Amino acid sequence: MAAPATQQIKIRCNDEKEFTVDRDVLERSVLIKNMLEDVTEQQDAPIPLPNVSGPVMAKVLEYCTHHRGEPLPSADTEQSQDETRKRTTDISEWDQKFITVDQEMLFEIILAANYLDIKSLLDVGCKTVANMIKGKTPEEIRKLFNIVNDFTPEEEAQIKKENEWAEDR
Amino acid sequence: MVHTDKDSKSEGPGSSPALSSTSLTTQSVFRGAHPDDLAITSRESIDSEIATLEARIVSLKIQNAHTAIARLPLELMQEIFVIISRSAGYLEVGKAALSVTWVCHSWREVAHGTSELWNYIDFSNPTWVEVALSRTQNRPLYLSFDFKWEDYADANHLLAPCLQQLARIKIFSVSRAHTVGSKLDICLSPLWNSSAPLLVELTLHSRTIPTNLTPEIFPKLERLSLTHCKFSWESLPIRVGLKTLLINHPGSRISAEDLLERLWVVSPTLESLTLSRTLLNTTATPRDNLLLGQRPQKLNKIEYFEMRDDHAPPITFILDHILLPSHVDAVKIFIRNGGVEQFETVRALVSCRGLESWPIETFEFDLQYDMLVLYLVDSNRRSIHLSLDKLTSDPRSLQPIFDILPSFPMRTLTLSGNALDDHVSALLANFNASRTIERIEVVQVFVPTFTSIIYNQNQRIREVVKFKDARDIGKKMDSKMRARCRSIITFHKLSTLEYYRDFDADFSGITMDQEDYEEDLEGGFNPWWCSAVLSDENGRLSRTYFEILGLGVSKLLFNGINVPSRKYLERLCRDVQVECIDVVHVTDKKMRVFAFKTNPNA
Repeated sequence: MAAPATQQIKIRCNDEKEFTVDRDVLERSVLIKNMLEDVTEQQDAPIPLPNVSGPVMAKVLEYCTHHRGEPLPSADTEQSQDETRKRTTDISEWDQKFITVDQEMLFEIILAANYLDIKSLLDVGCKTVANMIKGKTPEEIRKLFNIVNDFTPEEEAQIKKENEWAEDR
Repeated sequence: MVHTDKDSKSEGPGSSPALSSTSLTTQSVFRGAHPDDLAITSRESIDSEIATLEARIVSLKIQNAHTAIARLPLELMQEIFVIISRSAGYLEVGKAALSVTWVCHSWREVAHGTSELWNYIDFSNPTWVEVALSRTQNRPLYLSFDFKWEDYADANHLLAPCLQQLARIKIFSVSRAHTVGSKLDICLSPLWNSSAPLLVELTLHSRTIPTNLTPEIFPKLERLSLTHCKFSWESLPIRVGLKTLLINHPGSRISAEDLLERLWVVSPTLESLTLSRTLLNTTATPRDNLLLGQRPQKLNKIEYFEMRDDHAPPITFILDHILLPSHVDAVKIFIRNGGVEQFETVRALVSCRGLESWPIETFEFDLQYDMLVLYLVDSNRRSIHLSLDKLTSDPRSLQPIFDILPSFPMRTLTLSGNALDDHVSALLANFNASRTIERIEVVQVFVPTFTSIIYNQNQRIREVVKFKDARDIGKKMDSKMRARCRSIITFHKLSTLEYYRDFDADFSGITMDQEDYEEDLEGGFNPWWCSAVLSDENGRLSRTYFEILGLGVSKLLFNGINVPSRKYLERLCRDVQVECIDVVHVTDKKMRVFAFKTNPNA
């Protein structure tokens, strides 16, 4: 039998920070949802999340709380909507504000969403990075992410050719 | 192996900016050396140079490996790259995919290993097509070719390797090929001769399609789009499964009856239908021509329905035999040389659309001298767009259509057009009978006669005010009347004003000549953006007009070579209660856009 929506669940992050959260909020994470379904008896020990730190989990929970109650994508709809989803980088206003964080935190949120299996949050994160890259020159992208040009001369020559193809089209 | 001078040059640092600081000038090594020692020295120095460069590359790679973004796993980087590519727009997919490969070595590796990134091929360079094909592995292919004249010679080099992969082509599109000769048809022949089991979308422009196609060709075809193509209607793959059908200016037209039979075949799946100049002109009266014993059939899945043709009867015939579901998003009918027969089309449209179950939010009635546009929108933004051309200007001839109009259950009626004045009385007489109208808006901005109708809350027209020209509005409307109008009249089409200083406009009133209107249509702009050209004799915007127009104007847009000064605009903004002004200033062919708001906190 499904547990009542108000049930409180404890989680512990890798920095020992603990959160007590409504079950339906936590179940935005497929990983945690599956863990909870596997546990038949109620237990008081917090669920350990060794790959997420406290500050990142706080952000993730902010997202999950805002989107609580929204339908989770089923495997079927996910597959059929995948191509459509990738064709747009639109992000809702709230999500956009939520994800306006520094680069370190952005990548941490993406990694956490990936680990916790929160598809919609992962989607927001990936689209945000895609939007940061879109329309920029390679040099601008390097500057943005502190990447250095490490191409070999052969690669540089090939890139020059590709550039001509792109101009040629 | 002894390296030659040539070898050393080819293996040198090249043009890599990242490595230039560490490069050695190998030529200095050779200067003044004994010939016997030369080979050994050069070998050692080149080895040393290579080692230095390799060490440098390794250090750069290590540096890149420690960036924040490098923490994202491979599959997420692939996902991000695919989003960038797919969202880049139809013609930029390939270019966007390439651009991420030019950032650093690891991104290049990741992108090259992402087959999903390369299967949208829209490049016209044969070498590139082969490279891209090799990176796609076995993924379905999305091929799009935009042929220009100069590509003609390369057409076969381009198409041959792609058509060899016919079994995995999912989308195949050849657009803008009208300048390319018939040899292109020969290049395309594999398309018709082999199996294309995955093909879901086929788009062709100006091509000849063989008449002997096998019935089972393209078993998964969902979208068929043919523009200026020659084909036989009999062999065209129009069958169940087809979701989108677009036929534009075909080589041969089809009778309405034959087309109808094909529509019924695809009716279980058809979602979008666009037909332009496809129908033979049926001379018989549509009502006499109903298919015997055949009841109208519902196109259950249809969401978009558009027919453009020269004559009304065949379109009326089609509409008489189909039913459109209530969820249809847009219905567009455009008739070029209709005459009075077009009113039958309107009647047929009313019946086939099931309008009684479709509460219309806005009904726009735009009557130009010889053209009538009816545009209906419901609260879900579903619309019907009906354009009737070559009308007679005799007011009596329009009566049949006025009789039909009250059957549209609209809430807001918008009347506009430069020929409206002659018909206003007749129109209103009919609309008075309507019980659903809550609001009437009159827009008459194209001629110096401005008609406004004040409609009271009892849904009865209380007063019709006519002004000789727009300038007079300000003089005749006293403040009390204006305050009342503020809540009653909406200057619907004037939410954005454009000011074309370099246009040869009539500055004495609110004008817009027909030529400008058509130019905008051709340019693909929304003609309503150019709803008014306003300024006084000196080319300055008249404060009087804005006092009036400001009632409904929230945004002004100035566009032209000589826009007013910023100071002037700021003053204007204070005078008229607009929320913001946008200025598009053309300087040295580059668009410089700046905007400022009257309220900095807004």
